[in-house]
Amino acid sequence: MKITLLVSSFLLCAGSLMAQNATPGDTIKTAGNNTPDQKAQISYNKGIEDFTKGDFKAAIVDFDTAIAIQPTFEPAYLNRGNTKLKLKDYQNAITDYTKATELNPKDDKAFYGIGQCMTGLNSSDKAGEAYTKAIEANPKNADAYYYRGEIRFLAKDYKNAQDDFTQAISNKPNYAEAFNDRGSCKIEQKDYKGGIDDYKESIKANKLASTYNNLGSAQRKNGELDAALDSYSQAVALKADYYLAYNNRGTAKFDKGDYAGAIYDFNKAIEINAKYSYAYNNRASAEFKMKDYDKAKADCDKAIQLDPNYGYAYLNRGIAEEMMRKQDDACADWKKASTLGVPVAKDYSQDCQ
Amino acid sequence: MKKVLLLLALFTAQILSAQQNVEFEKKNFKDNVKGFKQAMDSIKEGDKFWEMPSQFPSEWHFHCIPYYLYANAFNPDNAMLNYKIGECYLSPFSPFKTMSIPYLEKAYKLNPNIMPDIHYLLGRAYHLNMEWDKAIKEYNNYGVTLDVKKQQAQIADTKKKIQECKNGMELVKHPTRVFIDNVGASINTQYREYGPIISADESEMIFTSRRPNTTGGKLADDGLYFEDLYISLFRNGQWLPATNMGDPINTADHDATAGLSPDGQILYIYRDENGGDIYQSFLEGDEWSKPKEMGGKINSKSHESSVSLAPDNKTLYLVTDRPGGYGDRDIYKVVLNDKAKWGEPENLGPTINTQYGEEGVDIQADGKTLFFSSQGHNTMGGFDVFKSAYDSGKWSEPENLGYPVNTPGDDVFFSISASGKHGYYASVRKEGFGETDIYKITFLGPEKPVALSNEDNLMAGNAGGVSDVMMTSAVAVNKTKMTLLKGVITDSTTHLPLEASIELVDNKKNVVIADFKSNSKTGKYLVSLPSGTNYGIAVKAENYLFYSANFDIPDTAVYQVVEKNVALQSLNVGSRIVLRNIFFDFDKATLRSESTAELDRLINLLTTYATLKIEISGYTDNKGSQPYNQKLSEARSKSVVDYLIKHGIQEGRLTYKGYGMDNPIATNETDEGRQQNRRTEFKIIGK
Repeated sequence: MKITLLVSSFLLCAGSLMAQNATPGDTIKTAGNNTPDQKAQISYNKGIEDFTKGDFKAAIVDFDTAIAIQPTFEPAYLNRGNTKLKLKDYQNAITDYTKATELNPKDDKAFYGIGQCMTGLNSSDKAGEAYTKAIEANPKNADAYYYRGEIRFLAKDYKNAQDDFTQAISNKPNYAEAFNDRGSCKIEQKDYKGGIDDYKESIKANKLASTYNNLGSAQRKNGELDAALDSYSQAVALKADYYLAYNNRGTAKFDKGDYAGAIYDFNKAIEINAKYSYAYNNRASAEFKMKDYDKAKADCDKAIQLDPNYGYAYLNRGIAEEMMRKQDDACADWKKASTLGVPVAKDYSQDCQ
Repeated sequence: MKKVLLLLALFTAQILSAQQNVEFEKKNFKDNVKGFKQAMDSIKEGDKFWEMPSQFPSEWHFHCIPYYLYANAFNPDNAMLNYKIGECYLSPFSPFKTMSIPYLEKAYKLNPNIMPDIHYLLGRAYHLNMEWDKAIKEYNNYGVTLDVKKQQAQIADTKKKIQECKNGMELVKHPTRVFIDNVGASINTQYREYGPIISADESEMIFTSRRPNTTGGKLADDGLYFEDLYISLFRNGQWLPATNMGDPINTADHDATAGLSPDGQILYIYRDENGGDIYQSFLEGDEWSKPKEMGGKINSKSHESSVSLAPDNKTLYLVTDRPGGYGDRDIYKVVLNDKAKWGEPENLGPTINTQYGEEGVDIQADGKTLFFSSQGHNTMGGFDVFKSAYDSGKWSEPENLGYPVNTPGDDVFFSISASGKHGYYASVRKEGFGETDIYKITFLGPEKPVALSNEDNLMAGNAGGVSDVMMTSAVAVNKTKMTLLKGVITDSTTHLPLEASIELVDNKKNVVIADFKSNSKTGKYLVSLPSGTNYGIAVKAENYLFYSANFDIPDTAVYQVVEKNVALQSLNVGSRIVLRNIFFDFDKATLRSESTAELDRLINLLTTYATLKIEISGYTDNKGSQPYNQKLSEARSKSVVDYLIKHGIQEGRLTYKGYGMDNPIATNETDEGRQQNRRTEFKIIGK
C-alpha cells in the first residue's frame, strides 16, 4: 500500500549565493516515502549539498531533476540560477531567475540575482533596475541597496548612492562594506569628517585593509597626517602586498616633510609592484625635494616609460630639468604635459619663449 | 692627595697654554734678530698706508694687508697687528671682508681691550659672514660702551646694524629661487668689474672696470687704475671678449657707466666733474658721439651718479644727492618737455626714498617696474636691491629681491633685462676671477610644486580602485607684459640699411608715445611695447614712402620678441604702401578716430612732396558678393580722399578706386589672411 505522506514542513529560504549563500536551512524537509513532489524536493536538497561542497555541475543536474519533476518548483529555478551565476553563466542564470520571478513576483532574491548577472555583463543600468525590483519586493534586502549604491557611486551619483548605503546599513547594522562605501560617498562630496566617521564604523564591524587605506586617505586630505600614517600602517599590516597603501603612506610622509621616509614607502610599493608608475613619479617628487635632481629625473623617466601618457610625470621631469639647468628639455616636457591635460604646465611652457 | 696634585697640574697647564700677547720688541726675539728686523720693516711699510692722511683714510687700509701678513707670519700673537689686519680687511674697498674674522677674534683673545671699537668690527665681520646671532651680540657689546650723549650717531648706526641682521635672518629663511652665474672670462678679470648695463634684448653689455689698459694707463689716488667703460656683445650664446670703448667715451680720468637706453643707442656716463655729473653719448652708425653733459636740470653741483631712460624715451630716472631729498642720495623722475628739454627733477617720494642712500636705478622695459638699491627699507646690510611697481599713480612698497641676490655687503648697480628673467650686477664671490666680478642672475620665480599621484579602493564591493591625483595648489607665474619689437630698416631696391625715424602712436588716444631712430650704419632698431595698447607704427625717411604697421597688443599678452624688417620704398611712380592704421566702422565707410594719426602722416607726406599724385585704393576679403565689396571698398577709399581734401590737399592730386576682393595679398581661407586683405592702399601715380 502506498502511503501518501504530506510534506510536514518545508522552508523556502533559498538565498542568493553571492552575498546570501545557500544554507542547510534552505533544504526542504521531507518525510516518509517519496511522492513525486518529494522526489523533486530530495533532488533540490541534494543540489544544495553539492553546491556547498563546490560541485556546481552536480548541483545543476540536481536542480534540473527537481524542475523536470516539478516544473513550477520556484526555489529550484532560483538556486539553479545561483549556481549558474557562480559559474559566470550569466545569460542562463538570468533565464532561471526570470522564471523564478514569474512564478513568484515577490522573490527579491531572484531580482537580486539578475542584478548580479547584469553587473557581470557590464550592464549597469539593467543591474540597477533589477536591484530596484528586488528592493520593491523586499525593502529589507540590504544587499540590493548596497549593490545599487555601488552602481550609483560609479555613475558619480553620490547623493543617491549614499542614501542606498544608509538603507543597507539600516537593514544590516554591522554592514562593514556599506559603511565603507558610504564613507567614500561622503569623501567624494568633500565631507571628510563624515567619511572618516563611516570608515571607522566600517572598521569596527570588520577590519578591512582597503577601509584602513581609505581612512588614511581621508585623514590625509583632512590634514590629519599622523592619523593617516597610522591608518595606512594598519592597512599594510593586514595586507602585506598592498602597494597602493604604501604609495599613499609615502605621500602622507611627503606632506609632513619627511622625504626620506616617503622614499622608503615608495621603494616598498615598487618592490611589490615594479610596474607601478605612480610610485616612481612620487619617489621622483621626494627626491626633488631633497635636491637630488638626477634621481628625480631618472624616476620620472621610468614612470613615463611605464605610462607614456602620464602627464604629471612629464610635469615633474620638467621641474627637475629646470633645476639641472636643462631649460630646453624642461620646456619640451612642460609642453608635452600641457598636451596631456596638465593645466599648470601650459603656464610653465609659456614662460619658455 | 694624588688627585689634588693632578688637578693642580692640569690647571697650571691650562693657564700656561692660554695665549699671551707678544709685543714686537727685540727682547722677545733674541734667537731670530734678522727675522724680527724684517718683520718690523714690513710693519713700517704697512703703517704708511694705515696712517696715510686722506679725506677718506680707510680707502687706503686694504693696501696694508700684504705687509702686515708678512709680519704676522713671523709673530702671529700680537694683538695690535691682528687688529690692524682685521680692520684692513674690512675697509670699504677690500673685496674679501670676511677674512677679517680670525684676525679680529685673535686680537680680542690676546687683548680684549685692544681698541674701543673691537666689538663693532667683530660685529661687522660676523654680519658680513651672515653669522647673525654673533653679530648682534657684538653690536650689543659695542653699544653698551658708547656715551649716550656724545655718541648718538654711533648708537643709531649700531641699532641700524642690529636691525639689518634681523632683516637678514628673515630673508635667509625664504631664499629667492635664482641661479647666479659669473658671466665669464670674456668680461671678468682679476681686476674689478662692476656697474653692468645691458640693452633690453641682452645683446650687449657695457660695464666699468679698473684695468691696466685704462685710457692713460695711470693709477688713481687710491692706488687702482682709473675707471674706464668696456663693451661686450652677446653672440651665438656667449659673450665676446670685452674691449675698452676708447675715445671719446673714455678719458684719462674716471669714466663709469651710468645708464643705457633700452635700444642701446644712448649711453650715459658718470664723470667726476662738478661734484659728479652725467654725460650722454649717441651711437651714430657704429661710432659713439663725444659725450656731452646732459642738458636741462639733470646735473647740478651735487653728485649725480646713475640714470635710467624709460622705454618712451621721454622719462628719465635719476640718482642725485641734491638738497631737498629725504637724505643722502635719492631717486628722481625727469620728463622731457615739448621743447625736447629735460624738466625739473621730481623726487619719487618717501615710498621709494629713505633717510639713507638710494643708488643704481634701472627702469624695466615695461616702463612700470623700478629696480634700485637702498641702504634703507629692510636691507640686510649695505645697499640691497629692491623693486617697486608703478600702478594707479603710485609706487608699491619696495620689495627686497631677497637672498642670495642680496648679501650683507653692497649690492648695487643692478641692471634688469626686458623680459624680467635676468638681472646683472657686481659681486664678490668665491668663484670669481678676483675682486668684484659681474654676475648674471636668472630668476626662477616661485617654486614649481611637484605633483604626486594616489589612488584608493573606494568601494569595498569588487568595483575596482578609483584614481585620484593630488596636486598642491599651483602658483601664479609672474609675467612681464610687453612685446620687444626689433628689426632692420632697408631700402627696398638697394637693400642697404637706412637710418629712419620710427614713430610710435597710441591709436586710441591719438597720441605720439615715442620717437626713435634706427642705426644709420646697420639700420637696426628696437622698441618696447607694453601690453594693452593699439599701436600704430610709422617708419619714415626722407624721399621714401612711409611704412605703416599696426600692433594691437591685448592687456593679457605676455613677454614676446617680434622681429620685423622693413624695406622702405622710394617716392617713385608705382610705389605703393598699405595703410595699416586706417580703420572703418564695421560694414561702413565711416573713418574711425583711431585713423587720425595715419591720415595726418599722409597729409604731411603730400604737403612735403607737393607734386605727388596718388590713388587711394580700397580692398576687401572674399566674404560677400563682388558688387557689394566693390561698392564698399570704393566708398571707403572715397572717405579717405574726402578727408585729405578737407584738410587742404588739392582734389586734382587725388583719385580713389574700389577693387573689392580683387588682388588679395594673402589667403582668404584664414581669419588672419582675410584681415590682411581688408586694407586701404596708397599708390603714387604721378610726380
